[in-house]
Order: sequence, then C-alpha cells, then structure tokens
Amino acid sequence: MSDSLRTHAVDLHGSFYDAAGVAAAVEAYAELARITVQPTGAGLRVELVVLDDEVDDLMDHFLNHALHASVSLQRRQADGVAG
Amino acid sequence: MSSESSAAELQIFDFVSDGRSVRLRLDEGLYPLDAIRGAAYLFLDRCFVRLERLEDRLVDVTLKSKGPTDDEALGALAGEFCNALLDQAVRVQVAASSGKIREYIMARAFFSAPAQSSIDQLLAELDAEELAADDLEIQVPWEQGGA
Repeated sequence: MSDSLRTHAVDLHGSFYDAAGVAAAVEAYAELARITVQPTGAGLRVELVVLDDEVDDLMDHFLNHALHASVSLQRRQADGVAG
Repeated sequence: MSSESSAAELQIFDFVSDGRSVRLRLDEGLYPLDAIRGAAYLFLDRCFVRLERLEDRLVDVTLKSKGPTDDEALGALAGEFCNALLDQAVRVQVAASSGKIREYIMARAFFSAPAQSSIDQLLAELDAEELAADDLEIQVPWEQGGA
C-alpha cells in the first residue's frame, strides 16, 4: 500500500444510516476505495482508503450515497408496512 | 468532514461555517427524526450531507458545498435547509394526525358491507327492470334472430 493513499474513518449512527444502505454504498464505491465496515454499539464504523488520489471528497460522496440508500430503504419499508 | 469554528456554542437554527461547510445542531424533541432525514434527503443533490448523533436527542447536520463557495452562499444553504426541515416536520405531523382517518377510509372502501350491499341492490334493481320489461311481452329485435 502506498503511503500516499488517503485513509478516512467515520462513525455512522444507526438511526440515520442502516446496514443495507451502507452496504449499497460500499458496493458502489468498491472500485475507488478499499472500504471496511465494522459494527459499533450504536451503528457502523467505516474506514475508507482512497485508491485514486485524483478523486476529491470521496468520503463525502460515499456518505451521501449511504444516506440516500438508507432513507430510500426506510421509506420503502414504511410503505410496505402501510400497504 | 471537519467543521472547525470559533463559535463557542450553537443554538437552534444558528449555524457555524468553516468556509466550505455549515453545521446545525437540532433538537429531536422539536424536529422529529423523520423530518431531519427527509430534509437531509432533499439536499443530497445540492451538497454533501452528514448526520451525526451527539446525544440522545441532539443531532448535528453538516452541509458541505460540492464546489467553491462563500459564507453568504453557505448561510443561504443553511436557511433553505431550515425551511425544508420545517416543511418536513409539518408533513410528518399531518401524516401522523391523519393516519387513523386514512386507515379508516381504506378499510371502509375495501371491506365495508354496506358498499357491497348497495351494489347488490343496484343489480337487483336492474334485474327487476328487465323482468318488468319482459312482462310487456314486446319482442326486441335482438331476440328475433332468424325466426
């Protein structure tokens, strides 16, 4: 692993980011970063090693993707329960 | 996403800026979780959004610009987020307050016996009219056939 690779870590609370949403983001960004996800007491800890230095704000993009997937999933589940 | 600021303390709807992002601290007792999530969802295409839980009922929302920006634009972004948050809070409240009524209307529409009996009643009336017409013994063209 090159020393120039940027590493980011973030704790995501389970009330906002669910495991399926984060998994969807991990799959989407697998080619741009090496991503590991570990459960914590309140949610998930995500460590992201950026593989392409030319991509800026990769963690921010990842978090947007994870939040979008999480909210979409929660809404589908709510609609399913309601329906 | 760092949001270092000289601001000592945040108040509701006050925000701090580090030149690229703004951070708001929200009380979940005032703004339901669904409203916070809904407002954040609406802003995903405009900026980077990060939600963090500080304490049991305190939520930090960080909005980070996707490109070059300035404090004025960040302030406007924070204001628009607050408006969206209020809109979402009202939607959540209306949905909760009218939920029982919606369920009742749906249940009545699908499962109510009077609705079925009214359809049966209409069919019976139609049958009765046809029978009454037969009583006149008037032959209608479509019954004449080739005879």
